[in-house]
Amino acid sequence: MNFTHNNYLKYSIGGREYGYRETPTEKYEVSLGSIDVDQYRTSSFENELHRTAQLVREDFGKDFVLFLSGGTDSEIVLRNFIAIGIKPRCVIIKFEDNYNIGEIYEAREIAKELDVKLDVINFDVKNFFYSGEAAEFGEQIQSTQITYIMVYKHILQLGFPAVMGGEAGLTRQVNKDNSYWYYAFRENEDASAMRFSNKFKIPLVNEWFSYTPELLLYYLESEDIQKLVSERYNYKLTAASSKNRILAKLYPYFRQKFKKHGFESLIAFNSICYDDIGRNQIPRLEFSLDGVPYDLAIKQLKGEQ
Amino acid sequence: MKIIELDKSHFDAILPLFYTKNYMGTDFHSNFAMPGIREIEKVYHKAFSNTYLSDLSRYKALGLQEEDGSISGLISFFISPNEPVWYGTMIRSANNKENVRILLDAAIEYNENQGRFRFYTLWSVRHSKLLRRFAFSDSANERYDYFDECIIPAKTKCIYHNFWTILFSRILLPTDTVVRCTYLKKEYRKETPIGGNL
Repeated sequence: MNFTHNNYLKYSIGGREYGYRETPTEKYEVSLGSIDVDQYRTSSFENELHRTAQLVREDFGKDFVLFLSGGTDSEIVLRNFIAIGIKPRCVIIKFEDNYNIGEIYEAREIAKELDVKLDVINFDVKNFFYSGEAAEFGEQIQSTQITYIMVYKHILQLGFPAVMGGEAGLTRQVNKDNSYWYYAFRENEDASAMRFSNKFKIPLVNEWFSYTPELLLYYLESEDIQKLVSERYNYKLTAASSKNRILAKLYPYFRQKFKKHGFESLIAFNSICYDDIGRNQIPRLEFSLDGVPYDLAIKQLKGEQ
Repeated sequence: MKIIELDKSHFDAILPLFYTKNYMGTDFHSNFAMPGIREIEKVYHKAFSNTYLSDLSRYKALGLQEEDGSISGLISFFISPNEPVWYGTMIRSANNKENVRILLDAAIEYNENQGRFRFYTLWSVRHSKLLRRFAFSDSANERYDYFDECIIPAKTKCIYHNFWTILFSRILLPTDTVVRCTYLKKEYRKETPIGGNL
């Protein structure tokens, strides 16, 4: 199963590739394979987006679903499928009590503009949690993040290969004596998508913007990302608030919108879910990084390490 | 007036408490302004309500209700599932010192009844020395002692996860702050709470 192109992005727990946690102290490690130098020299960020759409189409066939969130990432994914002549089936999950009504509106506008059919799935996320279903599902794939578990449940129900946005996340690690940026690939969230795919034999692209090493390297080496990770006192802790502005320079075709995640009204609920769903899972008591330090990621992608 | 547990039905009643120029001695209009958001008070009120008035078992808010039903003050706290500790997250009283003391006493009593004898709070360094004089009743002052766990310089990230998540809400603050641990003195602990079950 391809989680990324030729599975250049790998994680392991206790040395087990794409594995499960068996003890609290096993080390979690993420590594990146290298780019094709010729491809990188002759391509571009925009070309790599088209190429990713083509590669996913070749892997998945024509019957797959795209989870449109109303955000920038999945909109870009959709635009790139359309650019290669494919109109995928799009779905969005609508929470009871309209918690994500703003995202539903955005997704509908995007679907209308791009003339694709959008299926809206109504879902009671609170009942999903309080009934115990989320915990039960989460335990199977070792995830405590309800937003991810919720999407996996729907992919399983739909029974088709699926594509999600999957930004190339950058986070600042702040320690007592220093701080540095890293490419984030989190055991609990991002890696659980691979465990889900393996367990249920359903292909899922959760790392669109890291799908090829070339696409990731274009992003990491872009001028604004380099500036972001090198300015100590920019008061940024993640790239989230800068992402749309940076993407707009690299791919200026999406609708401008304020960066949100759709869970703004459920932040406290989310934190309770996080604790409770994880109650019966093996805790992680080792402090290896949930990703790859920025400088090392660049070296690995360039084949220098 | 009486202490009540706040819920959804108090959404409108607590709104006036969010319209103050200063919070924790800091003018948040100049420090917390976000582009495109005119009424920051409404943003805070909504975020507070989504967290503390939405039936979540670990996020509680107590209010001081007047005879006419209005709410003249509130205190909110997070009850940790990880250890017998609570985190005081907000207290609003329209500058009424007496009400602050009543509310803090109520939160202390609520948590002591559940076997929680220690709590964390976040304060501006500038005001931290006056805090006990302002917010603690004679009884609370006598029964509880404190130490300052750490100082977090302005515009830096707290490196301790629970403090960062619960007390800072993952936001860089514009002033130097101190995380204070306040605990019930040994001589006032009658029984050690039971911490196990099956």
